Amino acid sequence: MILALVTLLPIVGALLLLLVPREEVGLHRGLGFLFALATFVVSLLLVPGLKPAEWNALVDWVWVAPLGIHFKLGVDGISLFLVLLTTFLMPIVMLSAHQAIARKVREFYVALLVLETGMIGAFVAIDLFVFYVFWEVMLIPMYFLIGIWGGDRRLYASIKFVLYTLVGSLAMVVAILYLYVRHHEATGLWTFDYDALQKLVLSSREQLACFLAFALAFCIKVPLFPLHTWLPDAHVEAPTAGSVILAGVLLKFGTYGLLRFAIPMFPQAVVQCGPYITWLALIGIVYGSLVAWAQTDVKKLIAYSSVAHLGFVVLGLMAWNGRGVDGAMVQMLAHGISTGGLFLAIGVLYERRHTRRMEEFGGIAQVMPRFFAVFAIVMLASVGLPGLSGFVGEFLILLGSFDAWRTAKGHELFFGTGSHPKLIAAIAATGVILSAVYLLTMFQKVMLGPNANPKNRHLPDLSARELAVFAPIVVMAFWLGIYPATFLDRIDPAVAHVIGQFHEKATDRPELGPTPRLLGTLSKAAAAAATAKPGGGG
Amino acid sequence: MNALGFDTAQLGLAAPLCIVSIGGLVLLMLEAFSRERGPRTHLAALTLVVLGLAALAFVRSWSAPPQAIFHSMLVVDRFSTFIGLLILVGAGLAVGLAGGFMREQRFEFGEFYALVLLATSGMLTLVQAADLVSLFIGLETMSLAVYVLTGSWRRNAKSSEAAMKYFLVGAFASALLIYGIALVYGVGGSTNLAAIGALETPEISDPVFLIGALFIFIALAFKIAAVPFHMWAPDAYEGAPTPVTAFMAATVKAAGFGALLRLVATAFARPELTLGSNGWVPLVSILAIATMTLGNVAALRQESVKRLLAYSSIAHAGYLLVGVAALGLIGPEARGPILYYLAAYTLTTVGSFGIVAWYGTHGDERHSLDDWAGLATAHPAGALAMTLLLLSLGGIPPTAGFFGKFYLFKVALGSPALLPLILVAVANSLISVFYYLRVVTAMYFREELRPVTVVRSTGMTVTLWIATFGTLALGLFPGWLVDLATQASLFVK
Amino acid sequence: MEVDYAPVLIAILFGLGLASAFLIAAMTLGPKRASAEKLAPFECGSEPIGSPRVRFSVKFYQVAILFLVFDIETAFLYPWAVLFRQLSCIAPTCATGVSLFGLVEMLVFVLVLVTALAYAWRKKAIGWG
Repeated sequence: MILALVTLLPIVGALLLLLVPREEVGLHRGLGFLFALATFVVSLLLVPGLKPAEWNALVDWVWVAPLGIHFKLGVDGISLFLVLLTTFLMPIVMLSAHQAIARKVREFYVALLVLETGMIGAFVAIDLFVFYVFWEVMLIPMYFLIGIWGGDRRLYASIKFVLYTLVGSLAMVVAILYLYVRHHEATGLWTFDYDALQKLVLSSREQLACFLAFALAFCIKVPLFPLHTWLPDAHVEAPTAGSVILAGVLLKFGTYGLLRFAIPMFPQAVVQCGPYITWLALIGIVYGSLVAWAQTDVKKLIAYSSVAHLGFVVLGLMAWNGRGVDGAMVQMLAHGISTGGLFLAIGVLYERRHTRRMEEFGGIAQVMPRFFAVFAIVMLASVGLPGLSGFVGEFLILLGSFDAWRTAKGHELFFGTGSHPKLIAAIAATGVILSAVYLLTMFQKVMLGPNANPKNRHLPDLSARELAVFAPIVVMAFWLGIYPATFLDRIDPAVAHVIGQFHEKATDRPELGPTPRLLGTLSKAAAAAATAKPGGGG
Repeated sequence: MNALGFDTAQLGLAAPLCIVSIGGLVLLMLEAFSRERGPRTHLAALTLVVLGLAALAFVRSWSAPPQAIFHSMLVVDRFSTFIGLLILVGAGLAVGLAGGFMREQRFEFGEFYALVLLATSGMLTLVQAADLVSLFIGLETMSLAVYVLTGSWRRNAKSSEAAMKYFLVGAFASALLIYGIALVYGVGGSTNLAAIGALETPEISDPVFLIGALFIFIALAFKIAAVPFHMWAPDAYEGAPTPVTAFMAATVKAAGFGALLRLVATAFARPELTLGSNGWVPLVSILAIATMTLGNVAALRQESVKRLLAYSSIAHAGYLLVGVAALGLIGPEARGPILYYLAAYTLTTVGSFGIVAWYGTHGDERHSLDDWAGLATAHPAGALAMTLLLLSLGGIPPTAGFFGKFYLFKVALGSPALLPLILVAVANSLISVFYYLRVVTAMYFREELRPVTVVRSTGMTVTLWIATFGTLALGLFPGWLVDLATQASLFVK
Repeated sequence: MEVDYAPVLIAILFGLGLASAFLIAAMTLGPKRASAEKLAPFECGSEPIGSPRVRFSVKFYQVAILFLVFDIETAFLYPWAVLFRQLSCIAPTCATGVSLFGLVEMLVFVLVLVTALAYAWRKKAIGWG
């Protein structure tokens, strides 16, 4: 019940806001914030007594009886913190948008609340139909956030975002439907239940086709290297609130989806595709960092840094051992907090100067000392300074991939047979160095040096409201960096459980009985569809 | 048996059809003998009463066993009852839209209500037809009434042009139909669908029979606007007064699919006619691909929202044809999703065209995409409703349109041969989202170019709310309708 | 059976052949010396006046359509009258009683037509004024 409440509370708030007259701007801001805060408080109730390796707070309502669709929600150690990250960021985002959003205020809060329901629902759904519905529910509010309150090229960016995401999700929905029909063929039971579909034994060709369809959806969302081009556009054009949510939570759906669905459900296919994904992640890390270094627009820089950071997460997943996946989880949380913080910081600058170009700034530290402190902390957290949030995740991921060959003994390595995990880890490590290079360069150009531009002479420092926005983020950045055990204690058993299940299933070869009726054409065509490149968006 | 020579209990089973036909004639007389030249609110109310009574009669006949009546001219079963109810709902919503629109655009066409009822009676005959003759009569009754409705806005040149085009192409289709019927009768010796279905090899492999069957198919393809027999549709849909467009886009298509499904399940159900080189499944598959793709691609370039929706409605016929192909390959269970899809489509189409009708004022219909800029600022509720309806047309959850597509694909996945069709349909959904979002983009992301004006009419507002909420409700709680559609798909005479 | 239709076919072919023969002969044999006078359109020797596309009054169409309605009615009534005895019998024999089926059917049909007539009358489609 708690879980249903957490999921549906925001959308109830959204419906309530629709009933409040448009002119009551203050009421909309207040109510929106209140609902987001209430959702956060209720979501905290999920933490005590959580059993990380199983479904907690299970909700199981029959939704569409004739088709065996259940409204089934559950939370485990993996989804718990992602839900908390969502509910944690949402009130912050709402508070930060008080001044930036002046028109269509009601629509803004409605969009954010609907988005929150979509995100939480997609994290906790354990019925694949429900997952897909929530996955799509996220899409439209984000489209509105970019399109209504975005920058000059918002029309282009918003439609590009939607089309890219839809290419993946349509491939995914076909794969979900295929699993559903296959499960019925195998057992005579119509169900979308995650646990049931996971137990389904598929041939390697079927696995490959379905994996590619799922992976396409998730890799676009991550975004993995060649599929990332929507991200800079979306980030640059989105308003601060949109960027924070996009980077903080939405990108995590890619990696969460890989961890929850794509990898455990199709073990053989992962082993087959793992090397490619690993190398794409590596390319993403290096390429993202280099491109970020070359940016003059601060927001674009952060956007590309996300490509690099999420590349780390994917690498951690591909290492597929306790350390690597734990690291990936922590890195997801850390990235949500530090990048969210960075976007908020840029938002602060943009609100005052209405530009994001680095050369317009310089020496801001002199006029905004409080902002200097906050910005420095979130920036260093993103760099991965020990003691701050970014360090733990990156370190664990590097550790995990470094000894991937050892932990994978007896099982196949995703990096590919004959690959050199140490080399892979070494390449990835350059990303850590590069992130220090581009972030510190940016920080130096914006905050340090002489305050030469007369427009920057009298910028007001952070207000009380803005401090309230940053305070929780700073606290969390330190918490994750200094005492990650709070999180790892709950993540690790869940991850160990998933990995254990995976190895169990991977050794479980599909029997070579009669070929299922659907198999032949289907897997071939689905593979073709899944590998099809997304059309030139927008 | 009694003095009338047939079981009068059959009249009870044919009650919906009788109510609607008699209602149509009565309304025609009321219009002819009344002196009212202003808004015909009373006629609208009476029409809704007639449609409601017919719907009640349908609901009562739900539990009746499937049977043929009137010397096997008509058939009463849950399948026809389901589609019949859909048609009544579509007609009712169109009537709700019409009053306000005609008042605003200053053309009071009193015969509108009578013609809607007469067209509806034709559609009911069409979906209940158990004989090629009654099928033809139903089709003609429906078509003639709809031609007149299309041209009812006499001072509007586009409306007349639309009626003319629609009539010429429609007459051609009718001629094809009657020719096809003649050929099939010539070979088979019967016009009864069941009797045709019972024909054996020498007859059904006769080229004359096959040509006749092909002509009948093509005539129905004209009515459901399947590519390449769609060329009348964009002009007719765009030119007709918008409530009429809503009416015909929704109900004519439903009735046409009803007849098509009946035909393929009875007269042309033999495996030799279903699959293989002489079969209709390959034909329908090709039509489906062409219809989806062309409808969606053509919609991409439209600058008029009304025309865009017209092309989108062509595309939807394509998705439905995927279901028809599935019916041939998988069996009766594929009928359920088609019925569900039709229900979702009816509500969504009437709703979206309804909003087109609602937007604009006298002498200034706001059809171009630029005209829709800034609607969200002036009328947030209207823009939100339109967004929801467009998302439903695009197949985005949690709307009726999404569930309809989902259900359709689920059943179609049961046959590997349909996979290419499903993939084409999925790719088409992506294309369609692009142009639906163009409308949303205009409404939300752009500033208005000139003041936004809308028709003020309670009837319209209520209708639009019903259609929008219905679309959302069918998406959120589809279970009951899936149940009904499943029942309707299995009880076919 | 095919043989029965042979004369019809021959007649058609003969007609087509003869007509085309004359046309072809006129086109090939006749001398063609065009002049302005000859190329001008003419109507029975007099100069054409106005456009050939004359607008007819809609009244003509009204009459034509009304005629069509009643013409069709007659077309239906005639076979009905011929079959009336059969329609009035309850199958399989006529011994048990007379059926009103045929009568009622035609009454319904005529009633619908009368409605149409009444509508046409009220809409002033009948009469020339």
